[in-house]
Amino acid sequence: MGEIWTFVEIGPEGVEDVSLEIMGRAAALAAESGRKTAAVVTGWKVDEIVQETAKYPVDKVFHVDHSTLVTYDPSKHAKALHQLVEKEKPEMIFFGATYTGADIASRLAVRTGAGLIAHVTYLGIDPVDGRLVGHVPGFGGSIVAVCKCRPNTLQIATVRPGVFEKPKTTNKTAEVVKFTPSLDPAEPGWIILDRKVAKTVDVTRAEKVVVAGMGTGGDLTLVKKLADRLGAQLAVTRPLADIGVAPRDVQVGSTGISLRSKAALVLGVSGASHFVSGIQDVKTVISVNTDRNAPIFQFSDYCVQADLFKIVPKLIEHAEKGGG
Amino acid sequence: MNIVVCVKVVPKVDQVKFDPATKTVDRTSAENELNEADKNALETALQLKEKHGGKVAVVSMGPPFFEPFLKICVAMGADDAVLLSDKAFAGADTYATSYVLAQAVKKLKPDLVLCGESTSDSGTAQVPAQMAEWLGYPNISYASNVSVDNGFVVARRTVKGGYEVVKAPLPAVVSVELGSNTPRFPDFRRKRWAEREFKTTVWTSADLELDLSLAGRAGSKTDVVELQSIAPPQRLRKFLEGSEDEIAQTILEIIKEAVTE
Amino acid sequence: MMPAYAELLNDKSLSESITACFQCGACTAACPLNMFNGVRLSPRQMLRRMQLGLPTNIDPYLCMMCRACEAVCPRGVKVSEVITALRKIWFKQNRTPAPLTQALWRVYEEGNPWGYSSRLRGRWLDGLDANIAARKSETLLYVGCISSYDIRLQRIAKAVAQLLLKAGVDFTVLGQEERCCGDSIYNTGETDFLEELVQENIGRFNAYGVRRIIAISPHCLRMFRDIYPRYGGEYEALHYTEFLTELLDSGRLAVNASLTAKATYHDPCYLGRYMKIYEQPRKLIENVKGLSFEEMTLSKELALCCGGGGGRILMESKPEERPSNQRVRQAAETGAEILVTTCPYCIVNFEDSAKIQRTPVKVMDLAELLYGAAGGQLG
Repeated sequence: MGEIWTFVEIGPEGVEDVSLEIMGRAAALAAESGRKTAAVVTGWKVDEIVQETAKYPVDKVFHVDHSTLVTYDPSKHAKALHQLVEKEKPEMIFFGATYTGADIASRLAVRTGAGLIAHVTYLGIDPVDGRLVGHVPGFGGSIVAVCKCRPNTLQIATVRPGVFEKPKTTNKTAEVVKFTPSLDPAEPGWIILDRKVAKTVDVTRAEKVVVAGMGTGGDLTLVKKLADRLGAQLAVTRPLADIGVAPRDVQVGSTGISLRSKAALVLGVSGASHFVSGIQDVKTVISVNTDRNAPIFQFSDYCVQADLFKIVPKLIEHAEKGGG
Repeated sequence: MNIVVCVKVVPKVDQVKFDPATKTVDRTSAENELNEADKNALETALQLKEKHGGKVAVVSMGPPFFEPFLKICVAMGADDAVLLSDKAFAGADTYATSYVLAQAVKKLKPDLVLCGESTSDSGTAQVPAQMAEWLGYPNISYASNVSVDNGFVVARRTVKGGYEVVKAPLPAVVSVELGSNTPRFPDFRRKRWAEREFKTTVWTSADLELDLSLAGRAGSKTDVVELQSIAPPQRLRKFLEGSEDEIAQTILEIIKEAVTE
Repeated sequence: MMPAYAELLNDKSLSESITACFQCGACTAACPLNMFNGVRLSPRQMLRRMQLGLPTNIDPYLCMMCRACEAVCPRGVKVSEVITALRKIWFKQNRTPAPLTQALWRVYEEGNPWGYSSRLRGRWLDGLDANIAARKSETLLYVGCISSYDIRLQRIAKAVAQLLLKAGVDFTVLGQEERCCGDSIYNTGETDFLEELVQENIGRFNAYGVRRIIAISPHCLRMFRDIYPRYGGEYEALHYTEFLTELLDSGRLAVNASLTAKATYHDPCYLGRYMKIYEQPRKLIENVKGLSFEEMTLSKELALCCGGGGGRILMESKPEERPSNQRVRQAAETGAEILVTTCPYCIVNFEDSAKIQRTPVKVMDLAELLYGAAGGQLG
């Protein structure tokens, strides 16, 4: 059987968490099916990333280093990966379902004629044929398609951030295998003219989240104050991100992030299906909405039919008094 | 400057019904619409055309009922509409879809290919990058602020925590970020003309240089084995009553409990 | 002469308006947009520049179409018509503001400018006992987009329907089949889709044998009275207050309503200045026993716009630049506990302002007041 690989995506702060999460799952799948795992780091002068990766549960780390891989131009990374794939013949490759990961995985799939299962929320191995099984949410998250790749194809999957748990580092260091791809620096590709990236708080990992919807009328002052008092992160629905009162990084829903918090306080959100898929994994959902028939209440543990502008000041008041 | 915009017609998401008994998705009861992000892509193309001249053609792979929607694109300002329609194309995953679309692009030879970032039905966002790979073009995804200069395309693209500005040589495939512009409303006089007189170009597999083994269901590399409806976690759905103070207190207690367990 | 204005001057009514202006500036003084931070919109300057053949340099979409300017103009200049004509030019030049373009798409795809699914339009009927949807009748109660979908405003639709049922009126509602009257489109300056939409509605109304339309929103009323006849849609178009007053006068409706409170009434622009309907709402309010009524200083043709007309209800405004803020304070100044009005957009704007400013005044639609004070439940 071939190896299970995880593509390691490099973010502004080092290895992206999604890659580590996937490595954890890959290790589990490998263990249960008697396979080996590898992590693949592609970039330029990425020794530190490789060292970091090697501390996590994985049998081997491929260090693919080349100057043309300095940007995340997906055509270059897909080409480099293709060469490595031809040489090593893995059975499965997992990518984070990020803008970068999806682009590279997509191009690699065409190069190798692979099956590509997108945005999975579950990965397993079919005990009968040993093939990869992925669950792909569709139609706003209310339906799941169980997908498999055609026989005799390389199996690639992109995995949503936050689906798997980030593993702990091991006390071992995985073997590092260097691979130099054959890439022509003169061949045209991406040129980065400008870049502005700010450190973001990962709302998907916050224990407490306050979600603001259009019921706030776009005015987040009170809600921000509440989040602050509660020590909670703030997230928003799509319409609020659309009008620019919060960045898309904190937009909850099927086209945004999925919350995995222990508690989510959902304020002034109606609860359309594409939003609701983003709070499915929250342990306790408390919703406030003036409309008794708002769909959000179907997806909540505790429901408050009230005006959030009346409840939020009370929450702030009581939180300040030490109630929470 | 000639531009091809790939568009898809999708069912209105909130109208699609899943039948848990037969485990199938019933799209027939749903009305259809132009994929929203594709409108953003078309708007980008039309703005580039206004600036640089040239022609804009919309291309779509789908059954005949897609045609009226392509005419809406013409009403918005597209010069041509090409429908790739053949039974052999049906049942395609993104690999096979991107292959067929790429063959149409090869025939049309545009300077730039624009797509919406993803579609609202499958939402994989894979087709633009895969088309680019079939064509051997660079691709830039989640682009806004697309401009063209001297044989290059420059686009601002969203990345985690911010953005980057990428320049790539033409021809290239650029997928446009949903909501990155306001798609113009169709000119309804032009729409009437489009409906009465404009002829959509329809290509079947015979019109394209194709390896049929790479198209449609036959060419796909993935299969949907089964559909399941997600049983939402059983929520308590308990309404809290009482005064605003009492409710506020209760909420804080609930949060505290949820976090400490 | 700018080619665009040549277009306007070919129209007799517009050319009369443009040439009649003698630059007194009363319009600009009356315009609600100019009560905040200097002059944001000068109809005087706009007309002068047109007279001189210069670009106007005004954004015609800022206007709330309240016609306060027309009410004070000594020369009878139809400022709102000139602005509408400018919007048509801007639309063709693709300069319509994004929220209005979005509204156009939404009306086209879902039959309402808010983007709600067309399939949910009949939901306001839930809980209503009678079977009034989609039946043949000469009288149509036309609910309108916002009152069909908005949870709070559905109470108005329910109240009006209940009052009509109580009076034994034979009427129908279109329910899920109802589509936008076209007011949202009219405000954008788009004309071709508007024509199709209006024709479609006319076809729909005629299929049910409709000859009389009772409108809840003055905006819809305006469309049926002023615009639909241009496309062959001739109906007796009434506001529900006109119709209820007729029923009251003819004894078909007895309003056994009583409520001890102080109230005042706001004349919505599209009902007051547009349609000159001032007396009927007041007469209905008088019928509520125990209600003491006090006029605001600026009432009837001088009423201050809530800010929602001309398509503005679909666009964002700076919270500190909303005339509705001032208006609710004017209401509170009369000592009123209830601010009664008869337009759903006014209700939205006044409730927003009252909430943000914490003005102690409750905003109600007249139908809610009548129905509620008569012991009806609206849930």
